[in-house]
Amino acid sequence: MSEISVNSILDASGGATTTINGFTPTVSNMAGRNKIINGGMGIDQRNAGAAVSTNGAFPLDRWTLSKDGGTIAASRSTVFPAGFTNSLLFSVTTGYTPTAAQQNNVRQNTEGFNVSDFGWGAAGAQSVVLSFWVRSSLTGTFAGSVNNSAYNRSYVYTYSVSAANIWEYKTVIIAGDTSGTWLTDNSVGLRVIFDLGSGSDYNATAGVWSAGEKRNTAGAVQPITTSGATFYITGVQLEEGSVATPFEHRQYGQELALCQRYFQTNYTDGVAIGTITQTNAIGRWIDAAGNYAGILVNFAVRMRAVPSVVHWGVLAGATTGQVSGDGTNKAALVSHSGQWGVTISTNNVASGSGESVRCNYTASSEL
Amino acid sequence: MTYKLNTYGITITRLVDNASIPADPANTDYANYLQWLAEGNTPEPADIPPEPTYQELRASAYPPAADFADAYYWAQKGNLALMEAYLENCDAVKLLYPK
Repeated sequence: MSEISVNSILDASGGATTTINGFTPTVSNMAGRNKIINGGMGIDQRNAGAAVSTNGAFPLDRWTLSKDGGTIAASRSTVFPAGFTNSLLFSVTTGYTPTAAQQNNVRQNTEGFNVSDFGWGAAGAQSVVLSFWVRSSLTGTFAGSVNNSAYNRSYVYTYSVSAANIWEYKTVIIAGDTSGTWLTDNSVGLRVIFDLGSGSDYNATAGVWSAGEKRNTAGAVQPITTSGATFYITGVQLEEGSVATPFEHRQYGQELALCQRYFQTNYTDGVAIGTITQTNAIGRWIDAAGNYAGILVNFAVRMRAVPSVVHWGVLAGATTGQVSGDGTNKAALVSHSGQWGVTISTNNVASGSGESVRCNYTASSEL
Repeated sequence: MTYKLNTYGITITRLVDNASIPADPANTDYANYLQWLAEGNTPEPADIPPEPTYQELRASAYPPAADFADAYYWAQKGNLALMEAYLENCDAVKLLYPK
């Protein structure tokens, strides 16, 4: 091993493109370079590790399952490549061949604020690199896409899995799109999609920008067609530039806070949403007898938009739309709501003094 | 998917999971609700708030407790005028909102 000790390293051509291990360190590609949230698949506020299989479900924070037909289970997995602790697993229960108009995929809708620096939709659009680890029981050429919010701009990418059940690292360079409308506010900025099997309506040529909603390329491997197939991804990173840098491991608290902009709950880690429990429940004491009581929920971070809220009572038999107090479950509703918090109020239900009203809740402002 | 309006109009309830959905255009659930409306669907009406009880009506109409305290003070000093006026006001409320 050699050691070099110098005071400065300069670009030989007088520019600012000195590379280290293949990439040029700049302010924009150091901390905060990964536009993907929960790319290491460690945050699961909803399912306590249980699998989900319905269209629109979130197997992990920020990752959405989109499913038309077939049976596929998605969950956090403890199968992972070196340097990680989790992955996102898709298991196909029964093989299903999608029709031309059907699509199956997992995606992350990235907020426009977070990718505004890409400058897409205009001259000077920046190239980006998508990198990830993949492992599958199937081999061959797989596909995915990057789409804009309106689904009228698509970039289909492909990658090869050469060995079954072995982790492989993949990088995809995507030229910035100088056309189309790419939102840069709190709406969907862009969608990063891993195709699991989509019909011919979604086929496009890989490696170029296309008009319309595209997901894959003809002939790509479609895991959903094979009973018993498995497909894992982790270490997903989307960053500006043309060279993939090592995965940006953020601290757990940072990653959780990023996720909480889109979904948060009072439930303890590892407790499934909807569990009837008093542990970690929120509430307030009522210091005077009255017919109304409101529980003020202050969110951990400001949410992307005013969220949809579901709340449960904490006593046996409680259902959604309730809080608990004075030994009973009572009907309640959200009486005030905003991006920083909500008030969950019992509505015209007698409450005595010296008791508490409590509930568990979720707040969602997902994209 | 069906929805129900809420009594106070703050949110809409999505009945499949009783989610309270705010009327925020940036909320994707609300966008889905607007799409559902555009397809010709109609939400269930809000529950009609229960009529207030006579106790609730009287409680909001009685003269302030400070008036009673003042009247009590003067009554202890031998001046009953304020207490009589206070009781008359209470009687008027009871008459307005009978049991």
